Amino acid sequence: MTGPNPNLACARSGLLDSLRSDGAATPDQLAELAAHHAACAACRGQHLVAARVDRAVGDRLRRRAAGSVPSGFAGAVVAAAVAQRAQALAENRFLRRAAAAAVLVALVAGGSMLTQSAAPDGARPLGEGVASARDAARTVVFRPRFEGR
Amino acid sequence: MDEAELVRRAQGGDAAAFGELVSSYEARILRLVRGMVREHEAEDVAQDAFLKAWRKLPEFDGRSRFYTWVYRIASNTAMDWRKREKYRRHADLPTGPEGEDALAEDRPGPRSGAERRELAAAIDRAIEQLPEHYHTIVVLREVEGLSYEEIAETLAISKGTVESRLFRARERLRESLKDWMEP
Repeated sequence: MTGPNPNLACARSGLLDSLRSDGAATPDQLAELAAHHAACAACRGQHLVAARVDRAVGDRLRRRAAGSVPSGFAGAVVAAAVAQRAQALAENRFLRRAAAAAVLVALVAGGSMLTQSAAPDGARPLGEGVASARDAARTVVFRPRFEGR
Repeated sequence: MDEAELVRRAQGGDAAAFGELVSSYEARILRLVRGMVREHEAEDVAQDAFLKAWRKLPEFDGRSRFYTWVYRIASNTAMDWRKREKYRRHADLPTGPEGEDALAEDRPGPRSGAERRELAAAIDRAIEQLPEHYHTIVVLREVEGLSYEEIAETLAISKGTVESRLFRARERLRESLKDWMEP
C-alpha cells in the first residue's frame, strides 16, 4: 500500500502557491493547496513568507518601472529610424557600385587578356589593361560618392 | 487609423505611421525596460528596441499581436543589453526614498528609513541575481501584469514553461530574501 508522499506534496505546494498568487490556480488546485496547508505547518509558514516576498518584489519592481515618458521620445525614435534608413540606402548604393565596378574590372581585364593573346609581338602589355580597368572602377565607385557630398 | 493600418503603412516605410505606433507603446515599453535595466539606461534600451522593430517590421507577419511582438523585441533587447554590459557585476540600482514606502508593510512592526533602504537594496540584488530568463518573466508578470498566455506568446514559450519559470524565479527570490521576511 502506498500512502501520500508528504515531500512530494510540499514540493507541489510551492508551485500551486505560485499559481495561486497569479490567480492562475484552478479550484481543484486551490482545494489541494488548502488541504496541504491544513496538514503541514512548515508549508503554512513558507506560504506567509512567500506572500511577503512576492508583494515586496512586485512593489519594488513597479516602483522602479514607474516614471513618465521623456518628452519628445517618439520623435527622437522616428528621427533615428529615418537616419538609419538613409544610411542603409547609402550603403546599398555603395555596394551596388562596388559590384558594378567588380564586373567592369573583370570584363576589361578579360578583354585585355584576349587582346594580348591575339596580338602580335610588341602589343600593349597586359598590365596596362588591368590598370585602366582599375581606374575605371575607381571612377564608378568613388566619384559619385564624393560628388554627392 | 487603426493599428493594423498603421503597421501596414510602417511596413511600407511610412515613418509617420511608425511614429504613431511608437507613441502608442512608448510608455509600456519604457516600463518594461525600466524593470530590467538601470534607470539611466532605460531610455537608450527602449529606443534601441524600437529601432530594431523598425528594421524588422517587414518580417512582421501579423500572426502574433503587434504589442506582443514589440514586447518580445524589447525584452530580448534588454536581456542582450544586460549581458553585454555585464550588468550583474556592476549592479548599483538606485535605492532612494522612492522605493521605501512600498516596503514599509512587508513585515510586522515599524522599519526605520535605513532598514527600508537596506531592504530595497536587498530586493534589487535578489532580482539582479536572477538568470535573464527568470528576470524577464518576473518583470512581465509583476510590472506588466501579463497573463501566463500573454507571457508565453511574448517569449515564444509554452504556458507550462511560464508556470515553472515563474515558480523557480520566486523560489530563488524567497531564498534570497527569507531572512528579511520571516516573522
